[in-house]
Amino acid sequence: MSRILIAGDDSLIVPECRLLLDAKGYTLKHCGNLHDALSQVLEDPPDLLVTEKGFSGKNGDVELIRAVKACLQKANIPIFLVVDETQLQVELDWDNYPVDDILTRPFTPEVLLTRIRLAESRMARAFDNNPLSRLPGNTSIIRAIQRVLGEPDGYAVCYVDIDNFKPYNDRYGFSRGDEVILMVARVMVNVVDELARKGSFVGHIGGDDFVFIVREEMVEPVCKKILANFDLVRNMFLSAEDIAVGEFVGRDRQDRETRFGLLSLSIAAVTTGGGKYTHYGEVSSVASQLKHCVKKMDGSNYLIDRRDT
Amino acid sequence: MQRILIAQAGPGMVLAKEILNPEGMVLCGAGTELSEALIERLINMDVVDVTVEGHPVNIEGEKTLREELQEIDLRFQRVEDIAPLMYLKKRIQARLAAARSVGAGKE
Amino acid sequence: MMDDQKRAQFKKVLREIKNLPTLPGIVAKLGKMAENPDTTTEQMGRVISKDHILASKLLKLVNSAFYGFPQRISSLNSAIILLGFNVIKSLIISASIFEVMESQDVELWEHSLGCAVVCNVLARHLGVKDPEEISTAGLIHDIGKVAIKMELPKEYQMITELSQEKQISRLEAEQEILGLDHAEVGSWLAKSWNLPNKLVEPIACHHNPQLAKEEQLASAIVHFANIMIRGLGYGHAGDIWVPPLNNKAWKLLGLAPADIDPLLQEIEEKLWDVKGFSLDIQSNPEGAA
Repeated sequence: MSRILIAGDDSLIVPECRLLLDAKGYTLKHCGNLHDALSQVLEDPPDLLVTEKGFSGKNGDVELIRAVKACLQKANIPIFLVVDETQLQVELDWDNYPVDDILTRPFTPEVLLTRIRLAESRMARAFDNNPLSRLPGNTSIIRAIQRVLGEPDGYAVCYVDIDNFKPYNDRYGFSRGDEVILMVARVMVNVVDELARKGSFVGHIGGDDFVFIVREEMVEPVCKKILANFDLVRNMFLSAEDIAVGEFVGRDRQDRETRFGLLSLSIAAVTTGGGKYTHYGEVSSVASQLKHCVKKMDGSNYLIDRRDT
Repeated sequence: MQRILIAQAGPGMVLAKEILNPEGMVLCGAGTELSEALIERLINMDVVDVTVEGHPVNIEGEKTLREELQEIDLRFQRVEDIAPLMYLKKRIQARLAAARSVGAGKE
Repeated sequence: MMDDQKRAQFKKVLREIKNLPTLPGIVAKLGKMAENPDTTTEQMGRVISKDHILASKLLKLVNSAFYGFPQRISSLNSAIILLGFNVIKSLIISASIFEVMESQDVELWEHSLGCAVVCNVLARHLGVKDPEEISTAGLIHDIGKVAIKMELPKEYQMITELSQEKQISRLEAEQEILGLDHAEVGSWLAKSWNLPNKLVEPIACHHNPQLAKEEQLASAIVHFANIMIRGLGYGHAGDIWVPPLNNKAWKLLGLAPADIDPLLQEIEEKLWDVKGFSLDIQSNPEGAA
């Protein structure tokens, strides 16, 4: 964590603080109004955000905090809110201020540095995010599945993978493969976010394997939209020649020359309603059987398992 | 006859041409008198423009056909040696004149 | 030489542009849409793709290092899918608007949107694989003009005066005053925003399509679309004259005289939609603050 965005009045971070943070290798960027701060968060998000109560007039602080926390890929950026002690006499609605820490004025440079260091180590402990997609990794995925298994409402645990990803990598190179993984991550996150935000989860198992969880009644529309959006964006990641031919030639695992279809997605969804599973391992084994079927189908597809036992 | 945006339409105006939806179905026949309610409904059906009888809307700075043709001449003044553009100009002018004269003839 | 120094200085100023302003009416409309929980990302996308400034911002964002798709995304629909509703909402909140709106700003916007419409009609007529990309190139082809106006207001005024005084095109006046022109400025911006070459080249070459190396057809389409929309007189791009047609581009398009009337017919029809939208956003510009 090295880039810190200071969104507030000029006096928010006093020169002594600046000097110390500078010396410790942090880069500080200051924005004095909501406009600039939002542009910064959008275009080049920082590793940590420090803002103050009442920033940039009416609701500016809330707007800024929301813009960070509402975006799944930025939600783990720690936010510090600087307040006056008198402002704490009226208790803040912390649901409205989803910040990670507060600082009361005045604070010494050492206190600020310590809080930053603490936030860094907390991040390292709490998050197992995938370094490429910045989505939560396996520990979080297992925890999320266990959580919905214990809930009375039905959820769908959906396993997603990219068809023909290995031959794509061989043909276009690893960095292009990484772009496709990022693209799938964003398509999923945005659809889940827009259609089924409440109680949902998106995680990255690794490589081209992902998991998302939505409420059971939303699983069909979410799967449909993910596949439709994927198919719309996909051509940006393929060469004009391959699109024209509709397939490409590569080598399979036995190094034989084989024709591969263009990139597509497969989703295997397992519903959890009625307490039919107690352990995440059961869910993933049903999913892998299902995946076997869906992978045999041409193009992008999803299958939903609604078995009763 | 005048073609206007739906936002410029007002009650009492009479349709000179039927209104079709994108599928080509008639929504409203020629001769229909517009009312506030009808205009509202047409807006909700995403109708963009209507052709009405007479010349009820005076658009500020609206030019006569002659002025418009002259302006087109002026715009194309620098490309008189480029044959395809002279053809383009001729067609733009002809289409404009045709659209205007249909209206004039009926009024 | 003094001129080289000046040119380098203009280049520096223009490259450091942060926020290009747009019409308050569009930002107000989008702001209202963002507040409505029933608004879909696609609906927002349809409005954004009618604005040359917001469309460029969106493309700049999706092709930025953070989002991870440098020089890859040339379609606005794809950009919208990849950025998602929340990012688009923040983009609208952070959008800046003209503090003093002048009629030339609206007219340039109309010219840009009109050019996008003509690009779309031409691309479909020619059976191009992705007509939407070409419309996008047409929409943002004059982005360099907005940059010059905002960052070099004094020179912008001089360009306007020179073009009127000497009766020369804006392009020629820009070259005389700045030693560079809006096509060049637009292409630097597009390049510095990591936009794909599919968009950079048509912007760079819309007055000289014969210079395009990879995107010859797209450049030729934007070149001729610019001519057509100026010929039709919708919007205003700084001077009244229809610019010259490049012969090589014309041959590449392969249009016959018999194609012109049906094309004009379709363009005129689609321009009614644009006029309706323009009236809509201009009738309610106060809502933006």
